[in-house]
Amino acid sequence: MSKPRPRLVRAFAIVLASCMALLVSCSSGSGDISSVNGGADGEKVLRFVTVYPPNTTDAHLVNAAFVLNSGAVESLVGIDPETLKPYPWLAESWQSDDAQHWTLTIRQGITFHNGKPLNAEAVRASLQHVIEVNPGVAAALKIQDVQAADEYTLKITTESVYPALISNLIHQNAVIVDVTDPGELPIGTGPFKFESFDPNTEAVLVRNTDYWDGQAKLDKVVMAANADANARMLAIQAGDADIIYRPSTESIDTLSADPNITVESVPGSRVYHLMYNYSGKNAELWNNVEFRRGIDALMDRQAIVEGVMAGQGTVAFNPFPGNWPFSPTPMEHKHGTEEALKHFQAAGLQVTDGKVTKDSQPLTLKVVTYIARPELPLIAQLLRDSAAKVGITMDIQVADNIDEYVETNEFDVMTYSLLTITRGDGSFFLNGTFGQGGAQNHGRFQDPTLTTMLDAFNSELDSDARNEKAKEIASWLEAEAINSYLVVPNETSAYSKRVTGWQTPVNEFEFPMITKDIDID
Amino acid sequence: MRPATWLVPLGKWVAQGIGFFFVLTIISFLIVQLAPGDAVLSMLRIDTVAVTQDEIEALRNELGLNDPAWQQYVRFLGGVLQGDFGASLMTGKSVMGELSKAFPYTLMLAGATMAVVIVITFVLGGLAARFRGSLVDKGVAAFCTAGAAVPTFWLGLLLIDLFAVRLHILPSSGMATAAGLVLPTVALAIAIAPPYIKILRNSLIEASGREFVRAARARGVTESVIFGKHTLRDSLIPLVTILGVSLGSLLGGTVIVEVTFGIPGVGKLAVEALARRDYGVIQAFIIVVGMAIFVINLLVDLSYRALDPSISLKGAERA
Repeated sequence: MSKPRPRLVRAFAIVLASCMALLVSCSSGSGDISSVNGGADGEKVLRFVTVYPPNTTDAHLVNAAFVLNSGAVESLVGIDPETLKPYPWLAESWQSDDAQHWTLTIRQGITFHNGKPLNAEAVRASLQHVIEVNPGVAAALKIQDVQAADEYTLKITTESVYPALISNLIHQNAVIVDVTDPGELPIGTGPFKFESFDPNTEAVLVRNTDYWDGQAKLDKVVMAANADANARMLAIQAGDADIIYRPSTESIDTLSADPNITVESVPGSRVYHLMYNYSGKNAELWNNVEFRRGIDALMDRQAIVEGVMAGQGTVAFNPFPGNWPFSPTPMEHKHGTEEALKHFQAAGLQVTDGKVTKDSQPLTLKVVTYIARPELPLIAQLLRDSAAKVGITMDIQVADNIDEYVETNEFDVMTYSLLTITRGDGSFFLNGTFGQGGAQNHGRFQDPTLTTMLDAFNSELDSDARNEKAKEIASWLEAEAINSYLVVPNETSAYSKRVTGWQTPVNEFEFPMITKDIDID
Repeated sequence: MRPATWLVPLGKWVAQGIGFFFVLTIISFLIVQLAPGDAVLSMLRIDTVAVTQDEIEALRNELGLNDPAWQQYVRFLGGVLQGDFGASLMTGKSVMGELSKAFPYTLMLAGATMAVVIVITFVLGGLAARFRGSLVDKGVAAFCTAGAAVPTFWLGLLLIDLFAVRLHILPSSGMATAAGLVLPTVALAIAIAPPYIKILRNSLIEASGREFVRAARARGVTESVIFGKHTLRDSLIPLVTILGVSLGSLLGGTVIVEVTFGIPGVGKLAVEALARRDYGVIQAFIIVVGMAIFVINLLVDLSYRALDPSISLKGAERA
């Protein structure tokens, strides 16, 4: 080819300059974001990035807790983030003699964001709407009939005796909104109201100056979601976010080292555990309490907390660990190879030279795990390594969707994660996992003792007595080694040091994360 | 007979389009039938609500998910033929509405990416061909190797780290402003451009040695005219082919970038729909993107005729 001519070089330079100009002009657009960040005219603006994006603006259908977290909506019943006790929110009080016919008194002097008054009829319409469009909430509330008896009195009749109604009114989709409003934005009663809300990008909320419980300190909140933990970390490092929820475990050291960022961790409300299969091909083994205790003894919980979770968790021995109203006192648990062998021997298995056999044959079991929670495959590996020391082979199967895989019933033990401490009550976990036909009872465990205890729990209306019954069940599950409860992963958040009043919730499902008390310098 | 010249291929395209559409409906239906699980567990909020197997089955019956497959297909096809993919099981809103909200984002990203790819390809491919064997050519080759080797998501994270975290000149995610388009476009373009650069470079070199180019040069035609009228035009056909195919695949292939940069396009929508077993959205995605790719390929086919009249002539001769 001939030598290049200056004209070509000039053309190339022009193209490059155009690209640079485009880049600069686009980047100047980000000035808009900066101005939102800093706030125009001294406005206090907070940018919050949570994890799960909303799929819709409909507060009754949204799959994530985005709308509840935003501080724009409220429920009849709230839950205290520190004690996990339900408290009166939009309902001033509630009463029932038989746990089936309920009378709720609606708080007076509250208006929706569109100015309409909150009264019993508005609450009835909201509840009626949510149970019509959301089968999950319908299943949670079990409402047979709901009526506005007068301006501020709501009557609810449940399908049967159902003391868990009050707890389930805390559900993220059971929030009270004005369902007569024709707009797309959720019209709630919270300290902030939606100015705009695009589920695909972000929501902008502004202070509700007519809020019934005092004025919010912030003028505006820009709330977005990004399921990518790296993206969330980069957002707070770049100054695009003031608060991020749930940074990845690997990023905690990096963020903690940043002098402008505070990282906060609190024990969460879910428990990682091993769920045993009581109806699979090795059902005989799993129905033997000593065998279960042997498997439990193989698990070094502290090693999981330190090695797998980088310290971001606490050990658990039952489904309700911690100091919550229904948390039992943990029993003494010994772990290690020797302890496990004692239990295996007591289970009727042969132990020779520290190795376990059954009918002179080595044992091979199948562990199923999944990667949606990255720690679980690592816990499965720890189990496999510990079991190998006593001669038990554990084949690990990684499932794409654990809830669908377990329907095949082709597993012996699964690593699993469930919310156990939910809405201030053990009802979700106990009934979902051990109730008649419970959808989370993947191990298909049944026991008449447990059924009797669960029936008593389900019919107990008094909250203190109910907590005691939940404790009894949790203790029984621990003593009988019905599944092996291992660790409680921490819930974490990272926020700018300019932010005050932020409280990391124990889960993302039950709390308004943006509150009137949050402030930013 | 000129009408016949155009009617025959037009008839073929229409027939192909209809056949392809039905194949897509069957594929999208079968994928959903063969996939494990359904949206019922998500709809019942199984993560936060204690439900029973009876409640799960009752909802499956109510939604017709337990009906025979042929009944479900007939119902599905009837809806699709009316442009109705039903309502998203998760949002309760029209599936087409959900897709139409997401499509502009992906089209913007894909369009911007292709524009940048074309600019990069012509600049670097042209330079590499012009300075064949020189340091420039080697530099372009190194860029191509690096661009093809670096995973897009990693490049995306590097760009975010540099331009958002350190320099603070571009946002780390989202498309609230046009600035949000810059980093994902650059990340995608760098990953996609290398093969085009190589193809253009080689085509230009090959074309520059052809007889008609040598003849033009011998006639004293200027280099710029030779390049614009002969060399470049001759080199465009392989490039247009691969660019057309890429634009189609870009529509469905921007998933990683959309997730990394928080762009609410169809790729991200499809991934989320898969996670929630919202199969109506997935079916619509397959059919709409499939048909879009068909149309793009058709346009590519048409562009050959514009770039190389001999293709039209051959078609006419066969007709």
